[in-house]
Amino acid sequence: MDLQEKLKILSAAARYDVSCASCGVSRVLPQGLGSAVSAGICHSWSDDGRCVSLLKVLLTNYCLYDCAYCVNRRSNDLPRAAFTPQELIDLTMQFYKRNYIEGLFLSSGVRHSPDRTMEELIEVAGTLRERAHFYGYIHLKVIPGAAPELVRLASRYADRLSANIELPSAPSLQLLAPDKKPQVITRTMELVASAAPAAGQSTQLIVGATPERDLQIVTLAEELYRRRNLSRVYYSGYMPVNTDRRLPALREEPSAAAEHNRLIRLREHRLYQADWLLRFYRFKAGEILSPEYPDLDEFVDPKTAWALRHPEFFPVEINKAGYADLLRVPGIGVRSAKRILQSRRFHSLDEQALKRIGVVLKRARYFLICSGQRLDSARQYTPATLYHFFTAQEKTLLPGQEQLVLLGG
Amino acid sequence: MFIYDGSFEGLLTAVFEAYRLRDFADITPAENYQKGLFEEARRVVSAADKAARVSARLLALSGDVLRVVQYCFLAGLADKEKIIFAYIRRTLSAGRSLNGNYADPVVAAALACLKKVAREAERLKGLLRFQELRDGSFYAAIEPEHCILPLLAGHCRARFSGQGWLIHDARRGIALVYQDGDLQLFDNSAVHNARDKHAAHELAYQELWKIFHQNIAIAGRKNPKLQKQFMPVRYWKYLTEKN
Ligand code: SF4
Repeated sequence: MDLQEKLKILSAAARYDVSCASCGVSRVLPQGLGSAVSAGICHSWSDDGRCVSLLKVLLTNYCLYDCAYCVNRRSNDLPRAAFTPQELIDLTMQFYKRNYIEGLFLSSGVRHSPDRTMEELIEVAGTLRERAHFYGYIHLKVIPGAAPELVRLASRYADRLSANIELPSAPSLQLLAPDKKPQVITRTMELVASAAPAAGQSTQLIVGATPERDLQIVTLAEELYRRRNLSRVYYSGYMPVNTDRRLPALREEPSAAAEHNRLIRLREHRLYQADWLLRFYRFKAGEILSPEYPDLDEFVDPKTAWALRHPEFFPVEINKAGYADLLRVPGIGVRSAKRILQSRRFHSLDEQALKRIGVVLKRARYFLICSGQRLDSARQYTPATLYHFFTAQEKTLLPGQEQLVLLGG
Repeated sequence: MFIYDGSFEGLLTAVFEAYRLRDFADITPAENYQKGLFEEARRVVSAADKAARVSARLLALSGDVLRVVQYCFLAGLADKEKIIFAYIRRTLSAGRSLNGNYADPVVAAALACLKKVAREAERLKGLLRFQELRDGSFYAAIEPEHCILPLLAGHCRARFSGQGWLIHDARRGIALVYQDGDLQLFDNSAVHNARDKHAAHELAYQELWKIFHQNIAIAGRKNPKLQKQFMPVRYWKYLTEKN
């Protein structure tokens, strides 16, 4: 099989992997090829609008396992391929020299055994670093169950390691991926944590294939960030690729499929917004959702939803409030909150000033006062009226908007 | 009206002259100058010592102030001189950096201008596409809105120190050239069309990249609008995957 054919199969096989970020390390070395930039760089955007930053491929899509949700599972009849280490090294180097990519994101099906697969991944990363003097970004998947010394070795060569938690709960994992044991995945994540790769550990889980509510997922994410010290959690909205009675049924009619597509993307988007609140806005999972509100709102973002449930917190005085309180105002992101603090030192801020600072007043005006004044036209509204008002404004959602949120706060 | 030669040194010299003569008229580059009916125009002759005094003064306030001026100078905006001059005047009369004051319209205009320039430079750090030539060096062409070549220099030198390369700003006719550890900015004369000088395997890698790019997208989630929002069509001309 020629290289083009292999690349076709093994990049298509990796496309459901959602993590692409290449951030977290900063490095410039004198000799050899490459550097890593801590903010991460997008080199292109694929036809589905996702950032392309890394050469994201599988080493092989042969797999011993039969995870229900995975295209590459053993029981699927599809073309299989495997790269040789040299082919991958060459592709990475040549793509990097042409500035197509920040580096390599290498994952794999389990062809022989977890250890064998892990050794092959390490061979690619190790050769890139030691023989080819490649200093770009490397993200390796850690195969659950791989030996501790292999995990340690992997973290020597890779910037980031990730072991996928796969599903939001142990029972779901047992149901859909009986070859993978929850304890083994947990153990592998612990090994990665103690190997401490330079750009940290990330993980990925599929939402919408199993019945967990958003509350459970956001609580899990919080635990992964706070207790397990993960750098990122990625959410992958379930795309029906297999027919399996353990999975939600495939919808044949195009309109139903499109609707499923829309809803799952919306859910993904809301989860990323909630994740953002956990990581940068000092929210706790229990504030975002509760047994009373177990799912993220379809029509307003989680921060606005929180604000509407907490009228007692508002209005926030823009010329006095501290950073944490400013961040609670819908329409004020991390950047605007910092700018408000900076600009306030020069003189007190009014509506025009807030506009120039970049506050989204369309939303924020209902939640703040400037030196005791409500903003001109803003009358007092009840949360219920505001909710209807906001939901009427909400435009149709673009998938992948989490990237916008990242920039705009 | 002060007319300067379009160089950074010229612009700072004009600022110097404005303060010396206490005449705060507009500053405009010679190439944009159209004689107005009642205007008095002064031609400013670039002078290194005068420019140095202005930049030293700005630097003394804060390195950030000079940086704002430098970035704004790279902007491809017709009113950049106005923005810069207003910013310098406001800052000098305050006697300190006002860069934290996003609420001030003059400062905000300069910071917005800086952001446009910086943003395009960041974008092109990703969207730049090198092609390998027969002599083993790499060639990339761009047509940015702002003059961002100087902002790519440090990044590309750190990243591609193992290869010789040339980035050609085809819109302005300038090129950044890195060869044997040496980085220089040239004007157009040395740059020829690279297409007929490709290294033997160049097209094969371009093809592989296109294959990867096509196959990484999830078919059921095609979204050209979003793709264009992140990667505006004006950059496609030199993008391997879009040609
Ligand atoms: S182990 Fe990975 S590649 Fe193999 S079937 Fe499960 S998810 Fe797919």
